[in-house]
Amino acid sequence: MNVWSWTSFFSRGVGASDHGARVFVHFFPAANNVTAPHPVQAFIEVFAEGQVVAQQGFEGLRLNQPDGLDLSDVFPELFDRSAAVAASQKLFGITVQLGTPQPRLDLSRSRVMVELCYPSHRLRYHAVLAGQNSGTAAREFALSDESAIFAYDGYETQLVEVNPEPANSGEAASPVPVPSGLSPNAQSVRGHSVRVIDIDTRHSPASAGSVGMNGFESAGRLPRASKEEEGPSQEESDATVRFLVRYESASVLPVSVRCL
Amino acid sequence: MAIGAKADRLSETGVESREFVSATGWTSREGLSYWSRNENTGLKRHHLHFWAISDPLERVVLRIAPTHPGEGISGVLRFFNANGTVGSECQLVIKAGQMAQIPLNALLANCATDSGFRHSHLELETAEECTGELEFSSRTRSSFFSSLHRVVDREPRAFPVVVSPSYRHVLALVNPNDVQASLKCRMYLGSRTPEEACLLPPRSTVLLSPEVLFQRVISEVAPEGEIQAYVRLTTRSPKPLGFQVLEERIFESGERAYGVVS
Repeated sequence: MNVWSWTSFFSRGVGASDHGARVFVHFFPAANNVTAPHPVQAFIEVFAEGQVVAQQGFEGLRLNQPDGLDLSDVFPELFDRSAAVAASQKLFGITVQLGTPQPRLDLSRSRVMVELCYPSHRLRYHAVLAGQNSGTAAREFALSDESAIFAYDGYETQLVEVNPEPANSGEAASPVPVPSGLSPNAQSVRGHSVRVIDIDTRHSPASAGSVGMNGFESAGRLPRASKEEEGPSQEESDATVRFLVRYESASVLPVSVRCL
Repeated sequence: MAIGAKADRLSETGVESREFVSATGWTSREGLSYWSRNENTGLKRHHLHFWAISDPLERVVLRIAPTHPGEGISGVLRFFNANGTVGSECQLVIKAGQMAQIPLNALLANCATDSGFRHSHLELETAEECTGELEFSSRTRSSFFSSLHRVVDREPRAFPVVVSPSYRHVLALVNPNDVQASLKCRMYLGSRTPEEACLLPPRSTVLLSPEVLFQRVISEVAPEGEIQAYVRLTTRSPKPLGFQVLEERIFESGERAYGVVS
């Protein structure tokens, strides 16, 4: 069976307020030049802190037909606050595999989307197809001066790194070095992990310039943040996918998720 | 929400790496960004497209950064009316290491109003590869548009919508090319799959509301309740088209919240 895999994350609750969110996963299986509704299978794996906490396969998807499911229906244990895993963990990584027994079907044009549904708003963002992550380039951009402009807007901004590869058994979890200006609030492990890095925007300028019909004048020069002196950590994985997440200060709810 | 029986783990035969528009940085891998080359001068220009809305929203800000850290940005930001004419344009020169954060409300003031929104198709044409996003704020919270999502021949796109009296969706279809294009919009609503075709004149922006487009089927399937549905877009256009989805949720208090797909 040909299989393609997508990676993303979801939060069951956020911060001290612990708002509950319904989490949907949407699928849109698609293939080049094929319009017939061939059957497609899906396999979902949820992980955190080096362990797979839930997994399940599904049949019934059809090529070119969007569909979806509510994760609280599939994995109720993740949303049961009294369950150990749900009580201790709020951020989960997720991989979605789509597969087809048709040998000539290329499902790489398919899309997978995660939707967080809060009472106040919904947030939808695409998962990343394996092999499409830009590796250290995305990380360098995320940690560069230029990216700070996207963090400077009055929101709490975090970089979420998701490593979908299996953890190596027997290796101890260890933190990854973090450049100055950034502060980790979660430790990284060697696989099946979700790592959160707070982006410090305290040094961003108060003004970003002005624009008129005659053109744009940029006023604020970003401080040169110290570069990461060490190269990519040995724990860096080619499969690691990164998202920039903005949280509303008042509600501590995410309002924007952007894949890097 | 009709996935059937549970299945065993899928057997893996390997995953291929596929090309995508922008290999690094902020630009959505699904986004409408590309390079063009002037045949006479040989100069390359990078194009990045957005859909911007203002009224009744209070604050609209475009943020731009070079994809490759350390580069500056020089180029032009064009505002297209819905009929494809250029409403206004703004020269951009941003030095390396400087930030571009552009309030758009004033620049959108002369654009047309449609479906209750003052809106414009934005094209950022630069010598360097750029990334960006657009923040818009209502009274309750802010939302963030990425660049336009891309839809092209053999690459259909789909997105979820909640069909409910409390929600309405605005689908902005943008043809950034100089030739007319057509696009099909199909809704998946239970077992019903109504479809409508839409013509996009050159450089035009067309706003659609799935709730209006498929009103008859929606009234039959979900007259009052809330139901999960999907919209699929397909085109035979060999040149990429752009789309953006705005979800407006109207609370009993009258307040409105906006959602997007990123």
